[in-house]
Amino acid sequence: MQNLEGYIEETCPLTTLKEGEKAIIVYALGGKGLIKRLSEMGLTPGTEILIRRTAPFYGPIQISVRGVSLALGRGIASRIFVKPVKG
Amino acid sequence: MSYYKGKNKKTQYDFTIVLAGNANVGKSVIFNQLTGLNQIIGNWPGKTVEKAEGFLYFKGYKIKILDLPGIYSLSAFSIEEIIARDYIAIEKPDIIINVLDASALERNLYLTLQLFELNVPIVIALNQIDLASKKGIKINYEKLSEVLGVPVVPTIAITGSGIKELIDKVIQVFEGKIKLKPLKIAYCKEVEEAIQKLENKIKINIPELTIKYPARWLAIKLLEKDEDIEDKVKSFPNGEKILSLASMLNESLEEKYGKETPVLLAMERYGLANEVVKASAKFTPIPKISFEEKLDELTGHKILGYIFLSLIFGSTFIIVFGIGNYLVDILENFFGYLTPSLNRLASFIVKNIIVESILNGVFSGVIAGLTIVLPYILPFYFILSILEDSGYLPRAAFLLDSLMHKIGLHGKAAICLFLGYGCNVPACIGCRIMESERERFLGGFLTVLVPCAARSVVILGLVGKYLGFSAALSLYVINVILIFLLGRLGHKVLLGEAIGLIMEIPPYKTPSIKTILKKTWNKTKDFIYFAFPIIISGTILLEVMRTLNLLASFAVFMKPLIVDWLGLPLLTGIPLVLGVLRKELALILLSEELGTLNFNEVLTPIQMYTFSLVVMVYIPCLSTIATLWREFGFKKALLTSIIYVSLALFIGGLTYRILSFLSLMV
Repeated sequence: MQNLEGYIEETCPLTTLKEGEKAIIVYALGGKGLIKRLSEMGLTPGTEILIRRTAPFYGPIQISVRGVSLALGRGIASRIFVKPVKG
Repeated sequence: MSYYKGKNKKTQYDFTIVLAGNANVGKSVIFNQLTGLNQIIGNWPGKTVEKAEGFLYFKGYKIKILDLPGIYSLSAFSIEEIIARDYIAIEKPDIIINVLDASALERNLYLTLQLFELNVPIVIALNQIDLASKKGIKINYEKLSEVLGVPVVPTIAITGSGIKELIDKVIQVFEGKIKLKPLKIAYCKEVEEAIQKLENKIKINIPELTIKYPARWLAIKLLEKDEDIEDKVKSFPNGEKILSLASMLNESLEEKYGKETPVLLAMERYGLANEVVKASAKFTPIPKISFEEKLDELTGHKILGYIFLSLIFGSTFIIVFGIGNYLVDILENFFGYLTPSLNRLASFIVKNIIVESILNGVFSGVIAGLTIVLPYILPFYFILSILEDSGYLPRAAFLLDSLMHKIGLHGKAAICLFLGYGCNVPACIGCRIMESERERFLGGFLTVLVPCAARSVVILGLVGKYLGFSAALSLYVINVILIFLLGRLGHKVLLGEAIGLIMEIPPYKTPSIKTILKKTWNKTKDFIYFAFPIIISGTILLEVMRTLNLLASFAVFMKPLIVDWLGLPLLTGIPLVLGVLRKELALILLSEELGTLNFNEVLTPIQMYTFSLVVMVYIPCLSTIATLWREFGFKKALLTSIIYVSLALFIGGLTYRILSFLSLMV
C-alpha cells in the first residue's frame, strides 16, 4: 500500500508490539497476493488488532482481529505496519 | 419470483443445495446432519480437492446436497475458492446454504456479501450460537435476516438444533413462498462509477461470458485484478480492450485513494459487514474467564505450551502402549484356547492339504489381525479423534511453526505430520492445505515417514512388548530425527523459501462423545474393511507358498540382504517384502512363519529392534504409494519409494552392527 507519507513517523512493524497491546493497521508491504490475502482475512487498513501472544524462537504472532484469532508467521507480521493504541 | 426450475425434474433428484462457508464453522457437521449416511466423498474433476455429495429426502423432495470446500472469500487465491465460485456461478445450484460462525460474524459476513454479488438464492445457517453466547455475543437473528434480506436460521449443528427449521426455510424459498431481497452492496461513488463503466463494456463486448457470471461481478473481479477472470476475459477477441480499460480505471482509483483497489474493495466490504454486525448483534464482555480460555492460555504459553505438547505426545504413547498390551494379553489367551480346536476342525472337514492350509491361513490371519492389530489401533484412533475435534492441533502448529521453517515448511505442516501417526493416506492428502507446490510435496514426502498406526503395531507389538517402553520410544525418537534431517535436506534440494504462516486458530470446543465414538468407529471400520482382506490374502499366500515349498527358494535369493547385511533370520525376508501391502502384515506373517506369537523364542532383541526399524522406515504400504502417485505424479512417488527403501536398508544394517558391537562391549 502506497501513501506512506504522514504515516511513516508514527508507525512500527507489528512485530515490535508486546502481548496485550492494541494497534491500528496502517499499511502492509508485500506482493499483490499477500496484500490481498491479508485484507480478505480482515487485516485492512484502519482495523484494530490485539496482540494475543508471540511464539518463542522467532515463531508466529497470534492476534485478534474482527473477533477471530489469527496466527501470522513472523516474516509476514514484520511487513504489517501499525500505529499503537495508547491505554 | 420463484426459484423453482423444472430442469431437474427428469434427473434423479428434485433440486440442489450447496453448503458454503468459512473453514471451522461446522459446515461438514451440518452436511452430515442433512445427509446422514447417503454420502459420496470424491474429488472435484481434475482437482485434488475433496468433493462431498449426499442426498436428503424431505417432504416428498429428493434433494442433492453438496459440501463446497471451506473458503474465506471468492477471490482466486486458492484452488478451493475457484472451485467454489465456478460451481456456484456456472452450475447455478437452486439454493445456497451459507453457514456462518455466529462467534465470528463480521469475518464470516465477508463471504456472504460476496455471495450476494453472484446473484444466487441464499439461506443463512447461523451456526455455533452456543459458542457465541459463551463469548458474550448475542445476535438478533430476525434483525439480521431483515438487514440481509434473506432467511437466517440459528443452529447448533453438533446437537442438531435448528437443522429442521433450516431445511424448512430452504423448501419455502425453493417453492417461492419466501421472497429474497438480498442486501445491495454499494461501494463509494468513484468505485461504483468504475464498476458501471466496466460492466457496460463487458455487456457489449463479451456477452458470452455474462451468461456464466453476472456482468457486475465480472467488473468487480477485474478491479480486484483477479487473475483467473483476467485470463477468461483475455480469451475473447475483445478481451484486451476490456482489460486495458480495467487497468486504466484501477490506476486512477489507486492514485485517488492511495491504496490498491483489492484492498479498497475489501475495506468497503468489511465496513458494510461491520455495520450489519452493529445493527444485529450485541456484545457484553464476560468477566469470568472460561475453562476454554484458561486452556488456551496454557497450551499456547511460551514455556508451558511446549511442556503440554510433549505431555500430549507422551501420554498418547503411554496410553496406547498400556491399553494395547493389556488387550493383546487378553486376546492372546482367548485365542490360544481357540486356535488348536479350529485347526482340528479344519483338518476334520477337509482332507485336501492345500485347502487345509488355505483355511489355516484364513484363521490365523483373522486371529493375528484381531490380537496384534486392533488393541493398538482402537485406543489410538480414539485419542486422535479427540485431538482433532477439540481444536488443539492449530495450537501445536502455532508452537511448532519456527521449527517447521527449519525444514522448509510452516506450522500447518505440523498438523499433517501429526495426522500421519493415524494413517499416512489422509495425512498425505491433507498436505493440500499447504500453499505452494513445493511445500505440498515436501510435506507429503515427510508425512509418509511418520510411523502410522500400522507401523506402531509392529513397533509396540514387537519392540514395545518384548524389549520394553524405552526401546519402543527410542524408535519414535529416531523417526523424528530422520524426519528433521530429511526435511533439512529436502529444503536444500527443492530450492525456494518457506512461505509464511497465515492460519486461523479456532476456539477450543468440548468434543461430543457421540462424534468421537463415531469417528473412532469409522476409522476402525475403514481399517477392518480395507486391511483384513489384505491380511487374509497375505497369510493365504504365505501358507500356499509354504505348502508348495516355494519359501525356501525365495528366501535363498534374499539371503545376502536379510542375513548378511541386516543380520535377521532368513524367514523374516518374506514378511518384510509382503509388508509393502500393509505394514502390520509384516508382523502377522512373521508370526505365521514362526508358528508362534511369542516372538522372543525365535528372535534376539537386536533382531527385533532391527526388524521394527526397517519396517518403520522403508516405503509405506501400497495405498500410500498410490496416494503419492495421485497427489504428486509417478516420478515423485517412485523417487520417494526408492529413497525410503534404501534408507531403511542402510540404517537397518548400520543399527544391527552398532547394536551388536555395543552388546559385545557390555
